[in-house]
Amino acid sequence: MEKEFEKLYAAHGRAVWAVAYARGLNAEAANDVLQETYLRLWRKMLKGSVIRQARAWLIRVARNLAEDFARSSFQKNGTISPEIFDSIGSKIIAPDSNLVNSELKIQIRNGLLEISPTDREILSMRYALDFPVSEIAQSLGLLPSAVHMRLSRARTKLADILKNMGVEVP
Amino acid sequence: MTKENNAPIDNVLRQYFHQEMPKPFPKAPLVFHKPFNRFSGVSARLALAASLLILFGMGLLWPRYSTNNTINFKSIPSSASDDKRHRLPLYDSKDGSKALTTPIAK
Repeated sequence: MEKEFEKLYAAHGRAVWAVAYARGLNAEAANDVLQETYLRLWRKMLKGSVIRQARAWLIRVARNLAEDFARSSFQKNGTISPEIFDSIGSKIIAPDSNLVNSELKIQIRNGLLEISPTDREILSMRYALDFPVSEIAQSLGLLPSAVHMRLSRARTKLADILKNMGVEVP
Repeated sequence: MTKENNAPIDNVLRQYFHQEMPKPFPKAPLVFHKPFNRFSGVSARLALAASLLILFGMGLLWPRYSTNNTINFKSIPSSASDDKRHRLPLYDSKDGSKALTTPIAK
């Protein structure tokens, strides 16, 4: 059973992370959701429950957990947002290139937050995992044509948002 | 947006998501079916065997070197008539003034 569990983690772990990350664009929270999702899977396996479409089940659980995490009081009233953390100064002067990169990163993050969560999931799987369209469609339960269309629209929308922010995409 | 125009935003997004992806990717949660399954492997078994052996050895050797538990069988009286049996001092608890006596001294 442990071998099967490890196999499922190796096969779908990254997709689960990408879905969890797409919800709140928080890598640490995505790691927590990933671990919790697989713990739930393990408990299911211990009970002897049969999960026919493991990837679909895992992604559904990860989505729900990421949603719960985003709604949690800690997240809402949380201590300090990543943007504020990023803007905290240091005595050590960072190289200009690093500064530009971190600024661009914040702007991309803000842009991504303006598009729909499903589009973020598609972008996350496409660019974090380099999944082909067919695999994204299978993972998210969408038609490949729909994924193509959403991917194209999301890219265009994001490019427009970044343009409006005054970001020059290199 | 054409494919050629997509290239810059593609690169930016790829770079962004790759930076966000944890490296190395986290391992699977540690889940074990049996409670003592974690104590496995040759070294763990050897350590367990060695500690049990030490405990067993201590159990055998400890009484031999402890003076409190030593019984000297040679000093035990050979028969009931042996006067050694009555040489222990006796003390009359009712009369505290009396000195310690032994049956032989009376």
